Parts: sequence; C-alpha cells; structure tokens
Amino acid sequence: MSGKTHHSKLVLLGDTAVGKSCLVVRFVRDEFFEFQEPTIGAAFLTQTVTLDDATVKFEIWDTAGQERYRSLAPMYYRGASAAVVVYDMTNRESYDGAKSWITELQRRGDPNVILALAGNKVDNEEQRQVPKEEVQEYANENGIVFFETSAKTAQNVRELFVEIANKLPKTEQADEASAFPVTDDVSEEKRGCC
Amino acid sequence: MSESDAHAHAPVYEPIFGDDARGNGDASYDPFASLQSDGAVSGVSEERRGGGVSNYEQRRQDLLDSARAAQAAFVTDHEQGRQPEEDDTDSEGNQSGAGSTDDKRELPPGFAFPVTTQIMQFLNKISTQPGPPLPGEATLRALQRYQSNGSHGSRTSGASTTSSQPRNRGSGDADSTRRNDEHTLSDRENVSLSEQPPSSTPANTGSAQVEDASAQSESASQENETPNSVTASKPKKTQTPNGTDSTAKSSRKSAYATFIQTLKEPRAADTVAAIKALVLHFFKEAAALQREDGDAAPVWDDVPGQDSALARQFQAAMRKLEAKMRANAQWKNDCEEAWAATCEALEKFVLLKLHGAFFCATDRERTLDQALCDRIKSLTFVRASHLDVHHFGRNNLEQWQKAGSELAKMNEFKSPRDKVICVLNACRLLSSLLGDDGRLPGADDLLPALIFVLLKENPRNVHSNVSYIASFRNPARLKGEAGYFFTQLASAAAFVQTLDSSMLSSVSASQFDALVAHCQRKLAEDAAFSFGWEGIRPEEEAKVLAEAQGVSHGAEAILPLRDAQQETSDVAVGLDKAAVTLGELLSESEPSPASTVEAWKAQRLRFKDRTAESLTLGEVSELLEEYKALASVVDALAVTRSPDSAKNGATLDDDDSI
Repeated sequence: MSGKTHHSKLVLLGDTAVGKSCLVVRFVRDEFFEFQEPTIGAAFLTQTVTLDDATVKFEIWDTAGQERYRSLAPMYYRGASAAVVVYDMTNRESYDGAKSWITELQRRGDPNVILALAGNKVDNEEQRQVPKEEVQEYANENGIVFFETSAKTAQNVRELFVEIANKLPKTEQADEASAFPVTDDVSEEKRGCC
Repeated sequence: MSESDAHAHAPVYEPIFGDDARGNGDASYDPFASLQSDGAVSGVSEERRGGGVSNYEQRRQDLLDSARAAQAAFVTDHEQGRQPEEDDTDSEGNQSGAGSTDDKRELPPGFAFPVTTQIMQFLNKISTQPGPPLPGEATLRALQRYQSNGSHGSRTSGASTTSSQPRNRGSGDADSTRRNDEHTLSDRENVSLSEQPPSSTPANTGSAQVEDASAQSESASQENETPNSVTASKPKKTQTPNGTDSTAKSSRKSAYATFIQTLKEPRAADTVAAIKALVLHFFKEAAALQREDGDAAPVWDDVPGQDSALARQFQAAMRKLEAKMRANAQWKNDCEEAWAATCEALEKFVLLKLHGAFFCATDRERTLDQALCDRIKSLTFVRASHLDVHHFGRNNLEQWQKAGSELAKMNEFKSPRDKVICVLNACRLLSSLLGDDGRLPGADDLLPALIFVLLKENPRNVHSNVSYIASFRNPARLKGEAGYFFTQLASAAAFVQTLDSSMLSSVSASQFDALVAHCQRKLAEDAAFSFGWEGIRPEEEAKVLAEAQGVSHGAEAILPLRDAQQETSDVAVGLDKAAVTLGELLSESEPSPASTVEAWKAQRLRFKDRTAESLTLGEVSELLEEYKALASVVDALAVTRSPDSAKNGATLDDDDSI
C-alpha cells in the first residue's frame, strides 16, 4: 500500500437523459456515505476508490449532454485522465451518440485518457435496444472499458469506476495533494490546468 | 452605510480597487510599516551596502521625487474610490520599500530592474492627461501607485488608512476583514465552497446573510455561509469531515495578514526583494504587451488566456519564487497546509499589485469584453424556456438575481482566487434552485442555468475575468471543484458568443435573426434597454415573429394583413383587423359562398376578441398558425381578385424588407 492518493479528473459525457448524473450520484452516494463531502449539485462530485496498492480520488466533471452544448465539451475533457461515455441501452440513438463521443475523444483528446462506455438502465432489460454483444465487440476493438450499469440498482456502478481506477497509470506525478511545486521542475505542473 | 452604497453603485473600476484592499485594512500595519521600513534598512547587512551606496541613494532620491509628483498627479486625477488600493499597496509597499535596498543584490536571475526615472516621468506625463485611458495606462498607473507608495509609504500610510477604513464595508469592521483573509486563505482542498469573500460584502448580500456570516465568523466552523438565504431549509453541512480542519483553520486565521507580517521581518528582506523584482518585471512585461496589443482573434472553444506567453512566464516565475521562499528559513519547516496558505497569500499579494497591469489591460481585452457585452444585449429577448431552463419563475426570481449578482461580484475582487469563489458561489446558488424530487441537478441543468444568468445579468468584463483567472491563478489550484465551476463559466461565455438559432429551443433561424434585430433596434434607441429576466413578452415576440414571417413570405400579397398589423402594436388586435379586412374582401367577392365566411369566423377568428394580456405563451404558436392560415387565404383571394394588386404588394414588400 503506497498510501498515495492519486487525483484523477474524470469527465462524464453522453446525451441528455441517459442518466449520467444518476450514475455518478449512485457511485458517490452509495459508498462511504459517512465521509460524503457536502454538495448541492451533481455537476461536480468526488469519490475515492481504494485499490490494493493505491487510492484514487476521482474528481468527476459532468458535462451538459444537450446537442447544443456539444462544442463546449473540449473545455471539459481537456486534461482529464479518464472519460466515461454513458448511453441508455434502451435507446439506440444514445448509443450512436456515445460512439461519436468516443470518436471525438480518440481524435481530439489526450491519447492516454482511459475511455469507458457505460450502458445505463440495464435494470430495464425488456426495453433493451442495444445488444450487449455489439457494444462489447466495439469496446474490445477500441480498447475501451465497458460495463452495462444501472444507476437504479447500483449494478456494475462501482465496478466501472474501480476498473477505471485500476487502469489509471499510477506512476506519473500523481499526488496532487503535494502539487505545490517546491522544486524547479514546474513545467509539468503548470500544464494541467482544467 | 453610505460608503457601501457608493460602493454598490460604483463605476467600472471602483469596486475593483476598492474592495480587494480589504486584506490590508488593518491600521496596525502603518506604524509597524514605518518602523519596519527602518528596521529593514538597518537590518540589511553591510555587504549589501558595500556595493554602491551612492548609486543607490541617487536612484532612490530620483524615484522619490518623481514618485511624489506622480502621486500628486494621480490623487488629483482620480476619485477617492481608488484610495484603498493605495492603502493596500501602502502597507505592503512599505515592505517593498524596506526591501528595496536589496534591489541590486537580490534580483533573481532573469529579472531586470526596469523602473527608471524616465519611466516615472512618462508616468507623470500620462497621468496628468485627461480623457479616456490610453493603452497601457492602467499598468503604468498601477506601477506609479506602487512606486510612489513603495518609496515613501510612511508618508502616505496614515492618510490612506483613515480614508480607506470606512470604505471597506458597511459593517466596516476589522472582523470581516480578517474573516475574509481567513476565507481567502483556507486550504486548497476546501477552496470549494467553504469560503465566501463575497459574503462579507454588504453591497449584494442581504443583511440577514451578513449577520449570519458575522455570527459564524469567529467560530472556526466551516459551514456554508453564502447561500444561506437560499438553502435555509436544508440542513447545514459541515464542510470537511476530518477533524484536523478546525485546528488547521484557526492556525491559518488571517493567513494573509500573517504573511504580510512575516514579510515585515528583517529576515524576509530577501523575499520581499524577490517579490518586488517579480512584480516590477511583470509590470514591464504587461506594459510592453499593452503597447503591442495582440490582434489574434478570440478562440471561443477554449478558455482564453490559459496559454498566453505572459501567463506561462508568470506562472514559471511564481513557481520559482515559491521554491525560493520554501527554501527560506522562515517557511522551510512549515507543514504542507501552512505552506499552501502561504502560497495563496503570495499569489494574492502579487496579484493585488499586478491586477492593474494584468486585468483587462489591453485594448484587445476591452474589445472582447465589449463584444461579449453587446452580444448579450442583443440576446436580451432570450427567455428561460429558450434554454430549457425549467426552474425559473416569478417565485424564485430573487434567488436567480442573487446568483447573477454573485457572478457580477467577480469584478469586486482582484485576486484570481477570490474571483473564482464568486463563480463558485453563483453556481452553488443555482444548483440549489435546480434540483427537484430529490434529484441532484447535473451539468444538463446547471450549464443552461448559468448561461441564462450570464445573459440576464450581463456582468462586466466577463472575458477579462475568465482570461485573468485562467492566466494568473496557479493552475495546480484551478483544478477540482474550483476548476470545474470556472470551466462552467468559461464555457457559458463561449456558448453565448457563438449562440445561434439552433442552440435555442423553438426559435428558427429567421426568427432568431428577427429577434436579435429587434433587440438591436431597441438598443439603438436606448442603450440601457433590456427585456430583463423574463425576456421578451410573448405578444411582442409574436409580433416580431409575425413581421419576420411576413417578410419571409415575401412577394405573396399579404399586404393587407401586413398593413393592418403595422398599424397596431399587438398581434391580437392585428389579427382582428386582418379579419375585418378579410371579411371585407370576402363580402365584396361575389363568388365566395357565405357559408365559407361563417365557417371561417367560427374556426379561425377565435382570437378576435382576445386581448394581448389574456394570451398565454402556449397560444402564441397557435395564433401564428392562424395568422398563416389567414394570410394564405387572403393571398389566394387577392390573387383571384386582382393580380395587379398582388404585384404591387410584392414590390412594396420587397421595399419593406430592404
């Protein structure tokens, strides 16, 4: 156990009404409730995941899913170490939207960013429109973490974030808590804004 | 208090210079400062003086003389509102003055000492010229103030302290001054929501809230103060769960004052000199930049300023300075938290001085600010429904406005961190307005709400604020929650700048253009025009849209209708008259069976007896449909009756639309 806390900026993308906020609220609220930092909105939330060898503190940046705000997304995913693209598995269109987000991230985002797909509302199996196999194949091809989740039942919610935490590189100047550049090598430090 | 009132309605720059000085409102600085000045000089070791005392003395005398003249010019040139900054600069400036003996010896590598007598003379010249600010003038003035205070701070200290003290706040007490410091310097983990410098400003806070804040100020509690009035129904939450917080908090109480105090110690002379060198260096840099005045077009899909050369240079210099200070015996053994507070204090200290040089200092920045402001004015027709903001209404209008004024408070603070906290507070207030059914509002709700507030409040200098924060806030601190909500603001501003019809609900491109043109017409008549928080009235919108519709219908003889409409000021009456016109047309046209007219009257004229006030928003589109139907009938009839009149109509119509 290194005892180090790695801060990770995780950006949440996906069409509106796929349950992005619910998913993350479920993740944040479900665990360690007693240590919950107070928050009013769900737009920005933090949650800590403890792994065997490290602790990852996710800073989760929600983005507005409406199409009209799409062009603003780069301001949010800039500097993120992970991106979770959420779709609603009962809504084919939202999956198409998710794929276009993935494409955009692959094209414009940081190549080291961990990408994840979350097919939400899996509790609503009878209305499924997006077959799991199809998405799994797509995810495998693109090296993307994929889970079908339910914000309602908490199914796979924590698993999703733990998997991302596992995949995050832990070697880089990870400890933001000591982000105060005491030394001269500040060039890295100052790049990570937003 | 009248002072605070004056502050609340202050002209553009006043609050900026007025309020942020609060960090230094403590009168005890002055005697100390003057003593300290001597102390520092005497505390300076011989080796320093060994190098060229006469040279130094000569330069100091030059500076003193020109700075005195400069300050005299400055004081006569400006309203009292800027005094507190002098006070602010004063107490610190004294320090810098004390440290100035170190200038030669202690310049960090890469820093030149740029201030010469020539510059000071240039300053004098500029500052005595009346008229609008020249490019670079802000910087130079700030430099001038800085120099004059730094050179003979002890002379000005007494006067400026007394003049600024009552201005600080309505409640005007040292408590809130200290509290502000303490908020301002809380640890970075809690940058978030626990600190509200704005809450101690009476200008925009309800009195209850101020009291509430005061009541809490002395306790070490980390409770959320600012949105109290909004979230009163919600249980108070303790900010940070770990027990270390309260002790840490008390230890960093008035960390800014502590920092200033530390700087006054003789052993801090090196640090003071380094800080001063940095400040002077960037005065020069900024002044050079202002003369060049970059011409690059703004890029709205990124945070402006973030990657500017000046910002990079400044951040690198700050990191260097911090490293240097950290190695200093005074701070070497500080724990991380205390050190973080020191760095916050340093950032504030430096940027209080450089604010004039960095903030909205170039023509380009001013142009962009103005462009955004004008843009927002031309969008004053936007209603909450256009942005799908569902939680806005008469019942909570006040709270929305409060969020707007929180946002506008950015302009009252000089340090980037304090500005960020204003944004945070605005977002918190908004978040508290948006949730329903226990569901927490996410970005889907928050961003439209923030855009709406931005459109309605139209705060000054949004572009400059965003750019200033992005450039000069330590990037390591512009992460997490502060970074997130700051990005919300930056993206809201970008959205507004690029907003078109496709980004608003239920407005087509032509309708959007018509509404923008309508707003611009109104603005041309009255520069202060605004539809206010509720946006354009439905009937007015309908009228504008109907007219636009008429134009887009183009040549096809809806002339009678248009004429009828132009005589009246609202659609309902317009339609009424149109109906009469139609009736006349029909009655004159023999081939038309009477039953058709009756059917029309029954079906189509149900808005005939309605008044504009009784129309609901939902009926507007219905009304528009009716209007179109009527128009097409009239069109058909007019063509049947007289092809010539149709042609005339077409010509006139075209003329009209030009």
